[in-house]
This record gives sequence, C-alpha cells and structure tokens, in this order.
Amino acid sequence: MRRKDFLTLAGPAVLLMAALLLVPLVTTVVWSFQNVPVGQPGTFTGLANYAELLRSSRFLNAGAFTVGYAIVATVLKVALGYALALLLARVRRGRTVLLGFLLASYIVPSVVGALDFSWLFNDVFGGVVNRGLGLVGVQVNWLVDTWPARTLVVLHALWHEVPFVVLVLLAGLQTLPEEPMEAASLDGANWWQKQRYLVVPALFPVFSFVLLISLMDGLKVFDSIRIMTPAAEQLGTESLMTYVYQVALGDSLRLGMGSAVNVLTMVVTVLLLIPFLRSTWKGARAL
Amino acid sequence: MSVLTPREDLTFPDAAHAANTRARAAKVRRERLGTVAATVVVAAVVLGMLTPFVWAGLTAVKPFWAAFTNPPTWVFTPQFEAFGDLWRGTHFAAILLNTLLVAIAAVLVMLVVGAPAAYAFARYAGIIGPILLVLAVVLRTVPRFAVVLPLYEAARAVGLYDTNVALVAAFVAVNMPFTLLLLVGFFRDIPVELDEAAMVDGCSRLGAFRRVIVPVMGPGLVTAGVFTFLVAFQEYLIALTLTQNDAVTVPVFIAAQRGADETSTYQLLAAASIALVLPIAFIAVAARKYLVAGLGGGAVKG
Repeated sequence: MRRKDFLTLAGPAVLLMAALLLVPLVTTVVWSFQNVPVGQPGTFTGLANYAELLRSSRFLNAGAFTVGYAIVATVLKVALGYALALLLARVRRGRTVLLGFLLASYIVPSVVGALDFSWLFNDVFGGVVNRGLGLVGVQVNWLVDTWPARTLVVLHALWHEVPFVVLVLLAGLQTLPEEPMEAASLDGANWWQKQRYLVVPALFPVFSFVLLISLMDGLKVFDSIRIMTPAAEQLGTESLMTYVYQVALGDSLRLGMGSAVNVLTMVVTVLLLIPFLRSTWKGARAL
Repeated sequence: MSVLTPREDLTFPDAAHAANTRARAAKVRRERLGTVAATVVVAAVVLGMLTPFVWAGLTAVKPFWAAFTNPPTWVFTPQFEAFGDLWRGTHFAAILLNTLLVAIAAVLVMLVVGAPAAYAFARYAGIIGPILLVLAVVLRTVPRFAVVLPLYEAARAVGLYDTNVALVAAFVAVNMPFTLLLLVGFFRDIPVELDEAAMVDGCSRLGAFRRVIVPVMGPGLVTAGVFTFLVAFQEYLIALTLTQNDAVTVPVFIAAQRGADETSTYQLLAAASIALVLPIAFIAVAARKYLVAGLGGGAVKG
C-alpha cells in the first residue's frame, strides 16, 4: 500500500486517538507532578504527589486491596472458566444457546449486574444467600463487615467475568486437533495427564491472554465497587480507581493527586503487558 | 499376505470382532453419558447465574408489601405499577432515549473512522502499522481515569461538559484501540488478491476498499458495531465523569437512584434493571455469533 493511501485511510483514526487519548495521557503524566485543583491551571510541585501517596495509609490500603483482588479473582476466574469450558466442549445439543445465556451476566451493564447481584446478599430483599447459608447455620453480614464485603466483590467478579474466560478458552479448545488426544488415550494417559501435558501447553497463549486481561481489568475495578459498597473506604473495599474518583472528583478536587495514582497503575500495567506486546509486535511485523 | 495384516485375522475372527464391538459400544455409551452429565451441569450453572435477574424481576412485579419481606413472599398477584412509575414518574424514558442516541452516534463515528484505519493497518507493510497496533494494545489497557480526567477538564474548558458530543467523542476514543484490533483481525482474513483484482480492474486503493472490501466485511463491521453500541449502555465511569444532568446515560441514572438508598426506590430500580436486561439479553442471544467472534476470535488468533 502506498504511503498516501495509508495516510488517507488511517489518518482520521490516528488524529482522533492522538487528540483524545495521547494528549490526555501526557496531560495525566504532567499533572502527576503538579498540584491541579479542578478548573485551575496546575503548579509544579515535583514528586510531592507521589511522596504524599506513599505516606497515605488510605492509598496503600487501596493498593493492597486492589492487587489482592486482582490476583484472587484472576486465579478463581481462570480455574472456574476452564472447568466450565471443558464441560461446555462436551455439550453437543444446545451449546450455543447455553453460551448465549451464559454471556448475559457479562454483557448486561455492570452497574445493573452489580446491583442485581448484590440484592441476593441483601437481607432487605429477602436475603436469598443468607437463607441458603442458614440451612447450615451460618449468617453473614455481607454489606457491613470487611471480609464478607471483600468476598462479595470477588464473587461478583466471578459471576460477571467467568463467561468471558469460558468463551475464550472454549474457542481455544475447539482449535485443538483430535489426534494427539486419541494417541495419548491409547498410550494409557489419564484425564489429568492429558490436561497437564497436552491441553494446557497447547492453549498456553490463550491462557496467558486471559490471565493478562483479567489481571489488568482487576487493577482497574471501579463500577462494581461503587455500586455494591458505596462506603468502600470504611468497609475496606476501596480500589485504586474508586480512590482516584474520590480524590479527583469526590471529596477533594485534586486532579494532580488522582493523576499520580493513574500513573502508578499504568506503570504496573505496562510491566505486565510487555510479553504480550512483544508477540503483537512480531505478529504485525511478520506481515 | 503383508506383515500389516490386522490382528483379528490371526485370532478367532468372530470373537475378536464381537469383543471389539462391545468395547466400542461401551465407549459410545460412556461418552453419551458424559455429554448428558456435562449438559446438565452447565445448564444448572447457567440457570444459577441468571438468579440475580430473576430475583430483580420478582422484586419489580411484587406488590410493595410482598417485595421486601424476609423470608421472601412467594404467593402474590403480579403487578406492573413499578414499570409505569418508572416510565412516567422519572426521567428514565428520556435517559434511555438519550443513551440510544449516544450509542448510535458512537457506532457511526466509530465505523466511519475506524474501519478504513483497520484496513490500512492490516495491509500496510511499513513500520507505522505495527507501531500503531502496539500503541493500540497499550491504550486499550490504560486506566479510564488517566484519559478521562484530562478530558473532563478539557470539556469544561470548551463548554462541552455534560453534552452528548463529549460523551460520543470519549466513547469512540476510548474504544477505538479495541475496535482496531478486532477489525484488523477480520481484514487479515480477507485475501489480498481481492484488493489486487479490484485494482487491476481499475479501482484506486480507496475505491477497492469502498466497493470490494467493505461489502465482504459485513460480519466484522457488525461485530465492531455491536460492541460499540453496548459500550454506551455499559460504560459507567466515563459517563459519570463527563455528565451531570443533560447527557446522563442509563448506568449513571441507575447508580444515582441507588444512592438514594430508600426502599421506595428499590422497586423502580428493579424495574429499570429489568427494562435494560431484557433487550440486552435479546441482543446477546440474537448477536451471539458476532459477540463470540469478537470476544474469542482476536484472542485465539493473537
């Protein structure tokens, strides 16, 4: 393709992304070194925002909770998603219908999903989950106590995002050839051995994609926390992004401070991303 | 006569054959049983995962006295006042319409700007294409606030705060990298020979794109369109930050009602969530082919 055609076709999108993504991102980095009250130009303060963040126990708590949440949710999501994908791969009739309904909790707006999900744990709404737990003599204050609230947030993440994991892994499973599996069976390999030595290695790129997406989404969690636990700070479920909202637009209008949190989150994200970026780069260069 | 003679011929043919058939029949039976068991388990999980929506639906149609009892009330006459109240007593209808408007505008802008760019990235052999693609991956993963806080200040400065224009621009920008990744995957599946044939027949590069490539890109464009459309209904953080009254979308409205935290608004909320869940579930089932292609395809190929 000639350069002129390339510019004509790609130009508008590139300009749009430059103006509305790159410029804001650079602004965020600049702001992170400034004191920026909403509606006013910033004044340079060097590393003051970062120093304040690292001394703030509220930020450190939010950071620790977010990282823990991302890791726990990711591990459980991938384990459950893989189990469901293996089961779904065995389903013959009605697979697409089941998949369609499975996707409901993933596609419904997260605000609505989180709201409806949390009602099952709310005694005002009949306390469905607690009535079930009552059968074994357990009662949990899901929306009042710290660890139950954290559990609730993770359970919601599973309910909301396992369908995505199932979808991606199922697509991967369907690309696997039959012959190696049959050969392994003839050689007397059991189910675990076939998973361990054949399926998981063959799906390694798919697994790493899912792990990566899930970790990054976990670090960015916002919607469900704000909806299910509005008093996140007191409850111990404050995430990095709900913290940014409170600092930049909620209780104090400090855009610079919020930007510093965003920069730290981006640094972690990009570190996680590097292996995936290398494969994208190679794929694109190979053409 | 060859050394590769099947083993059956060396032993008692009939007995071996019968044993073989029995073993195969047992294997088929086992597999069929496994399939049934898998179907039952998956169906149970799927039903379980739909419980929150069923419960919200029940809450919406129960009379007020029955909706918030513990233990739950199971015997009641369904009534649909909550939907009427939602429609007439709140701004839900107007906000739904506004969200729809934003969604359609976002889809149009996204496809008009994104599709040609994705085509160019898929076909251009230079170094710019790969660089932009890697950039697109990075941008897809950046925290929303890192983009939206500056956009918030900029929108306030130029008087676009709380307008649909700002919202559409932000939705398109934030989701452009994902759309590009998705569409580049689809364009790569179209053989280059198709472009070449069109250009041999006298089309310019742009003409080839418009007359030959776009028509065969139907599924790809629909997939990208469905995702962009859903974004307008799903995205909470961006809409929360960039709107206040005039350009509010459904998620912001629902979150704000939830903030009231009064039992009297709970049934309205339940009605609102059902009013959204049903059409979106319909879209999910109707467009599942495209959703699956969009969510799974890129990942597996990439």
